[in-house]
Amino acid sequence: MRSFDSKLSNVKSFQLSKEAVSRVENAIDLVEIFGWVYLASKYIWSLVTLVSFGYLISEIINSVNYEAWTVFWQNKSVLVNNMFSFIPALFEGVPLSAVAVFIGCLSLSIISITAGKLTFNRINHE
Amino acid sequence: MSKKRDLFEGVFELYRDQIYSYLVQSVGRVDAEDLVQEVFIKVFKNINKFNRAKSEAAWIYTIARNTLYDFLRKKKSKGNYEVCVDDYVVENTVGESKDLDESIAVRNAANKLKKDRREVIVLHYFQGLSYEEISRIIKSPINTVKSRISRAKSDLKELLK
Repeated sequence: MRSFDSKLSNVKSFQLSKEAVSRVENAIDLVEIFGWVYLASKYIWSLVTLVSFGYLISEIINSVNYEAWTVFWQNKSVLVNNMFSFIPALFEGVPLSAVAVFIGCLSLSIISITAGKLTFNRINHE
Repeated sequence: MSKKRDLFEGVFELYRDQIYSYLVQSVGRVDAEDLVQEVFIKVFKNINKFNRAKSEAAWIYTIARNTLYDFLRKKKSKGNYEVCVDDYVVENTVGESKDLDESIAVRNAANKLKKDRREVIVLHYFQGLSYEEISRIIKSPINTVKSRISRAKSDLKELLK
């Protein structure tokens, strides 16, 4: 008579159907392709944002109102009370286009990376 | 094909039926097929963390167990969820059909055990994992695993009388 242990060990296993196997393989293909696209778009957007940030910094350095900054550093305690009205003066001369390009790139980058991540998770669950 | 994909293909080939059998025991065929997909997508995404020096079975079963428990938590929050390992999996059963009725009876009896006892019985006897591997998967000491298996066996004997 077989022992109880062997009775338990001889319990039959199940086999994943061919359809289910190919479904998993297709899902992995999709995840792999989307993974590459997501990774590439993440790096491209990060690079674009970095370049636009560099452009903004160079524009600030080229056109910032140094006189206003000097005044600011010399009279910090006096200016601290009306700082908000003074801030625009500090950045006077910085082209708005550089700021807009940077903010635009940053926003698009955040939106695209978040959307990509959400889509990636959705693909994983479906 | 990428190196990552090659490694995954090997793991998938080796473990797909085992993981499916493990999941069928708890959720039935249809949900098990969906969960197998979810498990192997997680395996694929984390294949770089896969370390052959350690037990690969323990790693994959841990992913399968976490996926299963997440699924059961979601299902239970929507209502009762009970599974009977029934004839619908017979056509996909590995091996000869001689002891099939007995197998199904044992699996159904195992489903009546307490959750922690059922788990160790399934992993040790039905899935063929060692005490050490089970201890890693359920994150409990080996002695706890042994005593749970022993208690589960007694319960199962009673249920199968």
